[in-house]
Amino acid sequence: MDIQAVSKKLGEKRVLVSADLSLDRGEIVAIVGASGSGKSTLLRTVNRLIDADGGTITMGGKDIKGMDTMQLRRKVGMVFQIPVLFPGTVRENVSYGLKLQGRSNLKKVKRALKDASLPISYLDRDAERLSVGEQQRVSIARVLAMEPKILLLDEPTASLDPRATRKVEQTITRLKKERGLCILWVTHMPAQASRVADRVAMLKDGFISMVPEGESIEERFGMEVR
Amino acid sequence: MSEFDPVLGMWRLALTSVLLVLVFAISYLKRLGVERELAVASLRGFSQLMLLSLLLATIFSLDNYLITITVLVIMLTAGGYTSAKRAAGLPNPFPITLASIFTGAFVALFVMILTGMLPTEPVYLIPIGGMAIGNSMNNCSLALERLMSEIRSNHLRIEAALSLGADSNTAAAPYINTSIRAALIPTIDHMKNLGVIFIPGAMTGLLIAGADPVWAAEWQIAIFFMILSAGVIATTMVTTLARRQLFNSAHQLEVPPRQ
Repeated sequence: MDIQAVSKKLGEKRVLVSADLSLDRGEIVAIVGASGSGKSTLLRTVNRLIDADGGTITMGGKDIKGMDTMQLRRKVGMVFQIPVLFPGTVRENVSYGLKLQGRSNLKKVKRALKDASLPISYLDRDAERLSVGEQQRVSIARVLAMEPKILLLDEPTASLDPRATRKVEQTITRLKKERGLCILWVTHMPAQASRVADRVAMLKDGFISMVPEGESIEERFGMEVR
Repeated sequence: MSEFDPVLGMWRLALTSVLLVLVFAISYLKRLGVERELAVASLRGFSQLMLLSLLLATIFSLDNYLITITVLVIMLTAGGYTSAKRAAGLPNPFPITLASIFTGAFVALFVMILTGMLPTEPVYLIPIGGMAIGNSMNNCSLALERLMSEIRSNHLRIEAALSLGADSNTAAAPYINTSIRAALIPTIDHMKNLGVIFIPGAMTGLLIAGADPVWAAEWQIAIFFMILSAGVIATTMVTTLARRQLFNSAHQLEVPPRQ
């Protein structure tokens, strides 16, 4: 995936001025930046929840603006900062995307649950009554069930405790290896970026700069970027 | 009922306004602070209804279809405008509410005329048309207000559904259905309690005018069917059209979330 000179204005503020980034298969790139620096905006332009004002985003050489939006979103899974579940059971939530494509099957749902480190016994539990950490893993399973090529993670551990955070991190890094996923992981925690990412990018003043390999991210940014 | 005497009628109305004095007294003693608003509302209500009665008397005496249609169009425009004001945040709502109220009221009135239940004279068409338009307007207002609130509150859920490959129709469907249901609850509850808690307006009018109670009941039931069907058509249409305004062709939600 290639992001070239992407710009976006939200209201009067120019959040992205000219963002450039490329991602390879089987790679996690973490984007670190302060609140309001445009990290989430960048992710949302990739699956076209919003459109960039300028620049191009290509996948496999194809401009995403030329693709069918719904087909694009089925290939590009997104996990939000807060677990966003639909009313109903874990099974109903995880099979949501599959049902839209008319290819819902229990095997895929179970596999997605397993991949997101959730027990199969959770299938018929009320999704909204699980702990926040478990809910976030349900939303990860829901995306994984669609077998996306690209994962967009918008601070997926922001509302989780350290134990649940580590579990999600392990799950995602394992999936990257197993499925060769291309992952864009937004975080404001440099330590998390150094734990999970193959490369780290900094988003500041609307531009992306890559952190040179070997440089300590924590030293450069401190413990937390706000 | 005895022959109508306009002078005597005015005197009687003046005497019944003693009830208003009671309202003002309670408001003053309890320091409700609504005396001014009550006075304005009473004066407005009085002058508007008196003006309407004079206008209707003229229109009915003319018995002209062009004038009848003009009156209905004015009612429709006012209804569309009032309902559009309820859709805060919805771009360009007036054409949507106007088209929806028109369709709901027109279909319901057309069936009423076709079945022979509603005569086509202005004396019937204007008040019954007003009922169909007024109730559709209320239903549209309730549906739009609820829809905008649901969309804002469920902004993230809608975007989650879109990001899983749902089209805007599927992503918004639960909130559209909730809005239609919520808008129809008052009408449905009203219908459930017909004749139990109160005798509805049209039936009361017919009974006072000396109509047979069974015929008055039949008429009232038909009117409720008309109101309900007009409401269902209008709310379904208004929410569907509103949804098209809320999302663009790339299935992106264009309403900012609730802050």
